[in-house]
Amino acid sequence: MDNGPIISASNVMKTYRSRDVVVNALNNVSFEVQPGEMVAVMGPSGSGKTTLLNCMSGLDSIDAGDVSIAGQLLRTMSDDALSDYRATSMGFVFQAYNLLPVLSAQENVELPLVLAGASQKIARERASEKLELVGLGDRTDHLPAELSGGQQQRVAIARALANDPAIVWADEPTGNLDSTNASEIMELLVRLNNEQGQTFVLVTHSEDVGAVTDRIVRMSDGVVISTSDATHGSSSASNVSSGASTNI
Amino acid sequence: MEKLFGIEMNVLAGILSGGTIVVLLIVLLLALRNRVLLKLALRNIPRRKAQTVLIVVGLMLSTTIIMSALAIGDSVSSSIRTTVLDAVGETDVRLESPITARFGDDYLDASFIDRVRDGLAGDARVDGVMPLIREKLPVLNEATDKTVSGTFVVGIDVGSLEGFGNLKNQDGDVADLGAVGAGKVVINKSLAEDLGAGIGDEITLVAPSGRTRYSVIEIVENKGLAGGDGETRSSAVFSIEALQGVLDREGQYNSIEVSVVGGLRVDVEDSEDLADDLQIAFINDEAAETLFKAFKSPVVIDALQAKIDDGSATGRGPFSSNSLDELVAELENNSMTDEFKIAATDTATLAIVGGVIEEIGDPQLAQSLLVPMSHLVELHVVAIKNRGLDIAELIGSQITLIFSIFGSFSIIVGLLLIFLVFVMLAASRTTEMGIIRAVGTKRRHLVQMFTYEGIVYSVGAAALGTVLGIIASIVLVQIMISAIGSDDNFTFTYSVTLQSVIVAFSAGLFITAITVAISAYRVSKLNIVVAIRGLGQEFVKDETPSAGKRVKTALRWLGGPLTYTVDTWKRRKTGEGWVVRVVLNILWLLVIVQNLAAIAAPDLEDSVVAKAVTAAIVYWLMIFIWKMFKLVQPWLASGWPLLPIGLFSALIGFHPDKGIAGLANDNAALFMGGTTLMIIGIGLIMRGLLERRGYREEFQKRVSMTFIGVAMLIFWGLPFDALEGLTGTLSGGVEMFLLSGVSLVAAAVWVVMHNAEVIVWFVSKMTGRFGSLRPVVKMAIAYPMAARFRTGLTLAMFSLVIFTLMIFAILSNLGSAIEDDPDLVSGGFDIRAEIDPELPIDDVYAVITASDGKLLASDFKVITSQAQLFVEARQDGADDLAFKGARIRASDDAWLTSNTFRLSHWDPAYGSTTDEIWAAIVADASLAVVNGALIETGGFGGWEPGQGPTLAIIGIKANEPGEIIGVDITIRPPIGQGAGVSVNRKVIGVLDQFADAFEFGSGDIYMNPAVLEELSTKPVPFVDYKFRLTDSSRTEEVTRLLETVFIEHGMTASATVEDIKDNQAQSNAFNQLFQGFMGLGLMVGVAALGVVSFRAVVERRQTIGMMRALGYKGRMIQIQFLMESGIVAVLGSAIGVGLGTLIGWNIFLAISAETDGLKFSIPWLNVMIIVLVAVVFSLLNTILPARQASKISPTDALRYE
Repeated sequence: MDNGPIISASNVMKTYRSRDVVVNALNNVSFEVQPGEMVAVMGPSGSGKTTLLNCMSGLDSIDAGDVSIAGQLLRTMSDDALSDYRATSMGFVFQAYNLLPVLSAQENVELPLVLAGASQKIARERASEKLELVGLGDRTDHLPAELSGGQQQRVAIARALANDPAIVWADEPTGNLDSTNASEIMELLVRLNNEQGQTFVLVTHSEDVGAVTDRIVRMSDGVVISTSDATHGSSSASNVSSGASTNI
Repeated sequence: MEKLFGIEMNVLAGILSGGTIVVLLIVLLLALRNRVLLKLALRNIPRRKAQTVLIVVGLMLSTTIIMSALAIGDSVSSSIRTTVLDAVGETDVRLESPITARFGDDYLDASFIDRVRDGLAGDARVDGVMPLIREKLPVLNEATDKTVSGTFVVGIDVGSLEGFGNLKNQDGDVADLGAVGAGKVVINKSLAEDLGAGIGDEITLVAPSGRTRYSVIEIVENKGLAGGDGETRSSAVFSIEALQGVLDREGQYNSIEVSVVGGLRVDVEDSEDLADDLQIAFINDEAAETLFKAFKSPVVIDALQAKIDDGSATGRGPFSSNSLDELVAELENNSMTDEFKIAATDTATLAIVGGVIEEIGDPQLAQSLLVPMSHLVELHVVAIKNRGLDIAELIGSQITLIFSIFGSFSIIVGLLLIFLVFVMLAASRTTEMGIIRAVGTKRRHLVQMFTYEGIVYSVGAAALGTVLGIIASIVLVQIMISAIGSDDNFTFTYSVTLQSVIVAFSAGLFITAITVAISAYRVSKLNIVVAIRGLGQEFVKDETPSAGKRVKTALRWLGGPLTYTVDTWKRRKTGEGWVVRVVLNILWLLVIVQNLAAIAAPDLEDSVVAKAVTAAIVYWLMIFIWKMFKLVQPWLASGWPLLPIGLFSALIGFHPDKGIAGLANDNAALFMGGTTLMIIGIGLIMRGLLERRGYREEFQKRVSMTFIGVAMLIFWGLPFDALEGLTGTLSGGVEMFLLSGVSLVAAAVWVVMHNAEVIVWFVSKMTGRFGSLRPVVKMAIAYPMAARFRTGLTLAMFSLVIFTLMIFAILSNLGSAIEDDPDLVSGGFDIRAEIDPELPIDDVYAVITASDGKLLASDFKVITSQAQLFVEARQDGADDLAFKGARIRASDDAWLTSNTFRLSHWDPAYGSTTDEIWAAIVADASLAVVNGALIETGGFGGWEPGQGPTLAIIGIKANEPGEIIGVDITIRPPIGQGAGVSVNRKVIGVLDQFADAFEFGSGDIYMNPAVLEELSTKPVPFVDYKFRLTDSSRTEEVTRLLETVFIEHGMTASATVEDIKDNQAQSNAFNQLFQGFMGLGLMVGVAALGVVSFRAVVERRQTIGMMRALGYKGRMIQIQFLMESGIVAVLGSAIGVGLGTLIGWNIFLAISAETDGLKFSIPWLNVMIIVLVAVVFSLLNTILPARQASKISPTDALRYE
């Protein structure tokens, strides 16, 4: 496992049907991510970015193809096993922060720890540590409604990192933020990626966000159209093979 | 039912349905003026079908409860009505001798029937007049060896059958009653079944003159002439000549009956008029004139008026019609009127007048009036059908009242549910509403929108609630029928009247619509920005105008309705809300006019103008008080204004004996309410102090609110008489029960919700051991605690329901002392029996010895006998000298010395043990013992002495058992009867409340038989027999044998143990019915939890998605939802059980102060069932939403922003 991809998708199909319209949200997508990599998935609205993230992270089911995480096929895992896996090995950051409004910042971050079975004491320590890490050590007792957007997103990131997950999924993490806050958040993510060595998969339509990642995967109409090394600005197909591109 | 809360059902239905229509019309008018709002409102309804269903279900429950309470009352009253009508049949008016059989001859001679016939000749109201003999005599079937000891035998004049004889036989044809005669009899169905007799069989009638045989020619339904009476259904119809023969009453009869046109139908007014006309015809004018002159002295009239005014002389009880006020009114005339004569025929009234004349110091006059009083009435005339129906009506409305009182808790809970439903509906639409406000609609438009939508739900809910209420009551009545249906004397059937349906529907719609409007008003006060951003804030505080502004408003409103009118006039130019104001103005006027009409209606002679002014002033004041309240309202929160207001109110509540003269007005509700206000005031002041000291807001709140809650819990939880020393004994009615329940529950919920952290800590500690549950528990607590208003409301609803169920469970468990010691009730006698007074027993043992060994003297340890005599009595030296009803139980030595009843009070001068007291009664004919109903009760659940129609002894208090000083009483036969003398007795003991409960008469006086000869000129038969057996295991067998052996005396016997069981079974049946009814309230509580859960699923879609993304399993989400409901259900049950036990204990203390032998015990099984049912149903109700929640897919939930 040491050298293999931590995330691997092959020929993934996902179709939404609403009334008579059939939307191929993911059309034969194949895609890999190496451990410790920070990947941005970009593309216009409706191109299937979020669907890709949902399917790869196991939040959503797929119609065909295979997704494996750390060598394990998702479709062989039960809903409960997936839940456990999410609780222990994945973190999520969403555009709308999605903090639990009835819990304080501290409690929000504690939640995944408690879920993973940590004792109350350890959960508290670790949560404080993570909040410190995202620069919110002085806001631990505030409810989400009492925090600004940027602060809420930091809490969400702290929560995503609480269990030191192998993979952090972020769906438009800066979508609701102004540019100052957005770049702060991205700096934070990059720093965490460098310091903690976790794998990050970001969905974004912001070029600025994409620019700070290791690699950009571009999507359009449910297919991956290109993948590029963001830092170097050059295109390569080394880690990606798209069904669509092979068909051309 | 014809009346509820003292208001005619017709009127009630009219007012309520009229009011409802007016409200609906106003709403419609408003809606048509602004159709966009209506459209917006109506389009919301079909948007979410499930939600609409849920809302309607939530809104309908109050109506359901009202409907079932009314329908149960209807069923009871209609069942009694049917029984009464069956028994009375076509007879509307009955004429009888004023003399009772015990004191003289109650048979009439032929001259009376001729006078009645002459008087009624050509009267179009009447279709039949008949002389009758009605007696109870034994009848047997020798072929089957079956007997019915107390058969109701009727002798009819076959020549007078017109208007009466409409009885159907078993084939459904009209029976030929005219065929009865020599040797021929018609029997009813009950008797045929009891005797095992068919057509053509011979039955034997046992009479004083011996046995006679008759052949059965027809078997008819149990109705009319063959309807028996309230106690006995079995009936046989003979020719009057046949009965005259066997009773040795040639040419005589004991009743004349008149049928008013219309058969079984009741024409109340015709019957009443006819009865009055007949009564006047049978009044001795000379005697009446003497009385009129004697009463018409200014001194007497003033004294009588004083009696009426202070209310002490009203002998009006549920079953007696006191006519003192009418009598006094007629004394205003210069010459005697017919109305005076009618009023004077009431013996209770005459007794009061006699007492008053003595009180004003003219005993000679009082004595001299006894003769005219006794000659006043030749025949006693009763509109018997009307009286029977009155009783049916009374019992029916009493039952409804009881159900309404207990049901009112559930109704309150139902209203809270409506409120909750709307608050949540609004919460789900805050964003929408914010946007609507943002584009420029006004706050009142929001109110209107919500009200329109709410009214549509309300109409649907009221309709559905009415239907469900009918169904619920059918089920409940069926339970009742199956429990007591075995008694063939009384048939319990289901019935519901159209008025009840209208009242339930309108009342339900009305209170639902009002609650909806109030909720809409609350909801409309949203902050636009907060709403659009979707930040959860269930309530926003009012903006308060400055003090100066408020003072100005208050002063302006000194003008009351005028200000309103002027205001309206001013606004006509801008047109803003003008129509609404004009409509309201007109409505206002209408309300005043309608009230005036209502006030003026009972007596048009009084000045209408005066009443109009009063009504206007009342409305004026109400507005002004409201505005004054608005003036001080912002200051109320600081607490200090509550102190003087509370103190003032509490002082008004004091008993005049203890409080400030002129201010204290004896009102428990005001005292308790005022004190509560003071407690709240102190709490709020505390909060202010803490705030000034700079404590955190949360801490301020917790300390002050906990103080208020705990102080209220202690205050309302005190035993009822705990503060009597301070306030005097306060009078309070049903409202106190409701008030204390609501206050206690509110206080408890208050404390719990402000100390939720303790619960969180406790639950976390409890579940901490189960590691995997911790994340679930965390969320299951976090949500309810975050929405405290919602949780508090649900908790309060749940607690209130369990609280009422709990009190009822405890109270219905109190009576069990009787089960443990039946001797308390039976006096240690195994069998009690009654014989026919016409067939007295000379020597009991002689009859037993002559029974061919069926019974032996050695079978019995003790045989006792008692005679009954209905008399009038009064307490010597009391303030009230009027004679009132009483019943002498003249008891033989065996009864007096062998009964095991307990005495609650005794005079130590005559003995210090029960045996010594009874021995004193045996030895000394001037002594007596009375039963517990004659003495003063502490005012709890009983009436004040002196108010009832029966003798009441002042100075012996039920709640102070033990030694007393003997009380002298005077006893005399009813006016005009018996020996015309009075006798004196000294009451030296009081039986406890259980004693002799089977033969309980409210005015029983026990003494030795010497009294009989003193009061009556003819021998009084001993009719009540008690048997104590050598071998009580043979009770059942001996009971049967006694009836056979003593058939010649018409003995009916029953085993006391069986009677106790029957009684218990009946009260159990009632309890079941009641618990079923209260269970409806439980449904409301359970529904509330369901509504909250369903709402939570919708509201929390996104967070559920997030939680799933975080790694919560579907099952964990499901458990979380179940736990949320579970916590509220368990907490609510705990509060309800705790407070219910507390109040149950207080009620027990109050009752047992007057009644010993009661035991307090918590019916654990019952409680467990209640709690289990409550919790399980709540969880079942949450399962569906919980499953829904667990199935939410994380990506779907997160996609919606």
